[in-house]
Amino acid sequence: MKKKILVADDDQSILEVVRIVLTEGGFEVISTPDGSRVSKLIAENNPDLVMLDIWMLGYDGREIAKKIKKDSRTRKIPVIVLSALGETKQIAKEIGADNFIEKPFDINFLLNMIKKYV
Amino acid sequence: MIETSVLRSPPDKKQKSNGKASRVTSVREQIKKAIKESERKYRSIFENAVWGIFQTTPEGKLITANPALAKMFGFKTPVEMVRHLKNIENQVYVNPRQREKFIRILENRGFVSDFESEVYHKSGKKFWISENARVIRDGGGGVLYYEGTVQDVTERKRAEEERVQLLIEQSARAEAEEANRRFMFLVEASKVLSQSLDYATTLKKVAGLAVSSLADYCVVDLFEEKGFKKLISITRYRRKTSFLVEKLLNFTPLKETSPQFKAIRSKRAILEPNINLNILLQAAVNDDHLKTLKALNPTSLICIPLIAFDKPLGTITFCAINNSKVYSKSDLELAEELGRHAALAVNNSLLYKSAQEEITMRFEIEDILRTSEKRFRQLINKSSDVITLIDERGRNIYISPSIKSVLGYKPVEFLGLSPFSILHPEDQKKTIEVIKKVSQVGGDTARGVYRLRHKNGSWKWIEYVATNLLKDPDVGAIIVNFRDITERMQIQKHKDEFLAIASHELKTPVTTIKAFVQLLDRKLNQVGDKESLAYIYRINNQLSSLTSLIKGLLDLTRIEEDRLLFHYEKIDMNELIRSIVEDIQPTIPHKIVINYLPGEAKVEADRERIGQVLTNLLTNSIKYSPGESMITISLKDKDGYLITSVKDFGMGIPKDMQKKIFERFFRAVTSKSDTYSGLGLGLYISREIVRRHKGEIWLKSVESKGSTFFFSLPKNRKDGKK
Repeated sequence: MKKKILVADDDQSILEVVRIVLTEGGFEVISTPDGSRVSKLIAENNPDLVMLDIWMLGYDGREIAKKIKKDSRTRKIPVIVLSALGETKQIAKEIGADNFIEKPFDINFLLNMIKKYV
Repeated sequence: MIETSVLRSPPDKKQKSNGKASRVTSVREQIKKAIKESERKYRSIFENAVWGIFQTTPEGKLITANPALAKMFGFKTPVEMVRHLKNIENQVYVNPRQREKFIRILENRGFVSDFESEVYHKSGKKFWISENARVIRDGGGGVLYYEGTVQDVTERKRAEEERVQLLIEQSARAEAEEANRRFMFLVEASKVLSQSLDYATTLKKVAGLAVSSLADYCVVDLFEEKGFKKLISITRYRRKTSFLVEKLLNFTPLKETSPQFKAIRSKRAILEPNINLNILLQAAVNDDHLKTLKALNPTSLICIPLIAFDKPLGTITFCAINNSKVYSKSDLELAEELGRHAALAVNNSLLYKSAQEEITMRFEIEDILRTSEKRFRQLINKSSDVITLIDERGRNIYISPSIKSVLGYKPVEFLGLSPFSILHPEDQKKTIEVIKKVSQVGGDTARGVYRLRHKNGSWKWIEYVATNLLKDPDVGAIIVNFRDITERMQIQKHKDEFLAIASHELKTPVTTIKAFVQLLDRKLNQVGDKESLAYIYRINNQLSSLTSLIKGLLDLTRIEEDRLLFHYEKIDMNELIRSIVEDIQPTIPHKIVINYLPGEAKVEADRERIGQVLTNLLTNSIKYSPGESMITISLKDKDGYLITSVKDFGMGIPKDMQKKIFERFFRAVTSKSDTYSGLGLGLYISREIVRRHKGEIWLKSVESKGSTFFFSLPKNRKDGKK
């Protein structure tokens, strides 16, 4: 059975390319540009890993990550921060994310990173 | 003195004539007659003597008195007197102690003579007597009685007293007159001397006083380091004498044999009652001087040293001419007293003069200081910057008025505040550290930014420069200059936000492009379209450049504004190099060879930033050695620094470019157009990062042979160069 990756990013083109890369890498991808739907999607799909953008339109990725890490039911799901911010590493540390990927990224790097957790 | 021994044997009543032998009888008769005669004679003397004659017991009882004695004391008969006087000590002597003294002398010496005492007359009147007396003892040496004579000496005594009184009165009058004369003179002198605090005037007045009462002419010589200087001469005569005395001023310096020199040396007044030629010769400095002195003819002189606080100031010489006066000891005393007054006055005038000079100087300095102080005060008061002084205990001791415009507080209000009460909580720890550091080292300066609360409650960004001048005697405080940079911080914040957003938004499409290009690269690899793959390679290169440009722009502004933030930690360079090479190796054709440092390679550094430097150097090496197969990275430990070098075997860098290569926006133009530096920011940013780590960055390069870039990092940041 394929591992399920939930990707949340408000940029559609990034969502698309990540979906292609991950699908080609053998993952099942659930994606959303809407930060507010993340919790619901986690509950519905029970993903094996969550990739989160930080700056999303109308939504703060940091809050979502904290929420996941607070909830005992979702705490164990690895969270990887995917951001174009210069301070991505610090932010990931602060919010308790498992790892981070700075944009722009190398697709092999992305795949290798995910394979570490699932 | 009267011989009274006969009285020892009163008429022998036991002697009786028996008439047995006529011869015997006759002798006896003769003796009896002689005795009788003698007795009669002495009784007559006793009875008729003008002196009083007495016999008294040691206890003070009168046994016998003659009529003269009785009369002397106012008694009608000796019998009355003897009956009346039972206690001589108290009844006779005005001073009862006289009797004690009388007895003491008698007992010790056996007699008294001319013992004078004041005694009471029967009427109570007092009068003076003089006693002569002796002790009469029995065979065993016991005292029988005292006997003696008394003379009334009241008249003599009175005359004597009167004479003494007269003498006393006369001498007292003379003394009083002399004393008064001196007193008035000295009063006058003191008055005159205290009137002027000017040196020359004072001495002129002393000399003037002297010639009016003491001398015919007077010369003041001042003692100076090099010798004497004649200052003032004055005379009460005019014309010739005056001319001659004035002429004396020319004869300097004084000779060591002169009276003036003697007076100074001995610190005592010199009195020459009679001046002889020898003295003139001793004083004259030359023939002309001697001639002048002879013409002037001083005949008596007194020379007084002027000494104040044990320091010789000079002399005053009083002279009498043509035998007008012979100075005496009393003149000398007067002159000495005048000298003491004069010396004090001169000393006072000197002190006054130096005090005046000091005051004048102080005024001048104060004037300069006031002007200067005013200028600085204006500068401080009008400055928009705030200046504050902090003492060694961290208390604000001064704040310039501009605090009002910056934080809304009046200076007085601000000084009453604890600085920490208005310091932003997030800035406290940092600020305490800065204060601690600055207060420890004299002359040390620290800069920084903190937030202080305005009186109206808002936070103000304050930029400060603190300098430790605690050891500076003129300041004795830590000077802190600060200015409000809130507006600047707000603009900066907007700029930061804009740049962060711009950078973020620029990266988003690049991310997509890069990912799609990589996907395309995979597909082309699968079909083996090498020509297209070459295009993809170029696109990838340009995307890397674009990415570093976007990142670099953000870093650049931060470097320019000195706001590049670092997170220092202990990092292992071996490990950092390994991880970076691992990431890069799959994407490049070169083989990266790493020469690790054996053992630990720890430095205190910002992992991300140093990684950025390494990546940048590696990227450059790859870029500038196309077609080559190897790049080496080496680590060395040297003098407390870890030196990392990245070596390529490519085209190298021409010498003239090597110096400029770390400059901002420098672009290496090479013969191969496709491999020129993209942005010119990488090395500049790298250099800034390394420098902020207190390290250095440099290169060695030979054209066509390759380049080696080095950077050093202190193992312990505190040991690094500034």
